[in-house]
Amino acid sequence: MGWRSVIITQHAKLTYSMNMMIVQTRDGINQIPITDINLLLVSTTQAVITSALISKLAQNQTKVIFVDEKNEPVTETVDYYPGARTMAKLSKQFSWDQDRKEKLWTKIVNQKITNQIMVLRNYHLNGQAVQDELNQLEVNDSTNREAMAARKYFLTLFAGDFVRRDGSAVNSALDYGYAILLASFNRSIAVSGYISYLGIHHHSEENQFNLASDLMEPFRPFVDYWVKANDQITELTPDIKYGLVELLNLEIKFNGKKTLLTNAINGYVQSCLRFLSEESKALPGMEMSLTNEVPNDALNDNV
Amino acid sequence: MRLMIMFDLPTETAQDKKEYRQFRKKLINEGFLMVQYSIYVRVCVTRQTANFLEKRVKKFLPQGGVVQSLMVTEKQYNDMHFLVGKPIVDVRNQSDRTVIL
Repeated sequence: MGWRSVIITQHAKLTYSMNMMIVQTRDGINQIPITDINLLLVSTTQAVITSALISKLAQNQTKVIFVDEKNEPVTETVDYYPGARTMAKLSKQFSWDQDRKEKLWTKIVNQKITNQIMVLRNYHLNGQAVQDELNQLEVNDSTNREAMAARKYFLTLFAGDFVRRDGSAVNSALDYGYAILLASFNRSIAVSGYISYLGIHHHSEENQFNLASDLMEPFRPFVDYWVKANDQITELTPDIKYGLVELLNLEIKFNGKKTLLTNAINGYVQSCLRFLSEESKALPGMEMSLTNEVPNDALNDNV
Repeated sequence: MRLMIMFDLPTETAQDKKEYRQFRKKLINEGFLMVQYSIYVRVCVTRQTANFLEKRVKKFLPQGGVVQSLMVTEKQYNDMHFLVGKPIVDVRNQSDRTVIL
């Protein structure tokens, strides 16, 4: 299992040699062991990558994300045959119990809205309107409180006239952060041997990643939390992007334990999948919160 | 965590030299970085992975000579004093979780 996120930002050639990813840039040659890499973000359209490297990264179940000329993530690699995939798992996934799906979705929405309130509180904003929506949550969120809560939440978080879809820098930053988050959920799902098409609530025919879209919901507020801290931005600068990738290493409290966001995601995805496949009875625990202070402990970054 | 492998290997016969070359190459294949001649280091996320890696190294040891391994924490490794010279600048010698190239 990898633990590194690698971001390529400049004219580069990426090749494979001796279990290593070789990155040739203007500044010289860098070598990184394939097994260390969790996520490779090719954040430039000026990089060359060999098929040997892509194939080796896929074998290691590394996510590779490519960007368009505006530097926004447009595509990612999805592995065909992760080691853990079996026919038994797939047939289970296709016949996940409706009741369990609904219970899990209810809990996910509950946790998402709770986290949204947590983010608002963290910035000393009034979370009452969002709390009201949470109080009206019904099984399987049949009244779609999730959308209502999100609307009120974004209006409170980013001042009165904020519109989620207006292409502003804040919105681009949110989308960027969500894309990185979605990719790591996809990775985690694929590694566990399930397919990402078949979700529990999202069922868009065009969305390849319905399941990840479902499971990631409670984690979105962490991106919002980060973007809010930088909400004066007028442009999606490289630093903002790196920050959003680095966010995967944010220290959070998950089910009572301090852990890195990326590790929390892996544990969370697995327990959700075990619940859906009836390998565990109890709904997965998903209490999460920010650790008190802004992460400034330099050693946090290190292993 | 860091796993350090230090070795002294005989280079008397052709067979010795072959074993040495193969051992060194396999270390590099496992992602080790040469920080000094005969001293190789690899970043590991946890002690568990360091133990796992040590087991892998045990599978391709040379016949003769001395090979030592040492596990140190990130803190201990970074507290190392450089009495002469400077640390190697290489991604493999850093433990940052995000690498920007």
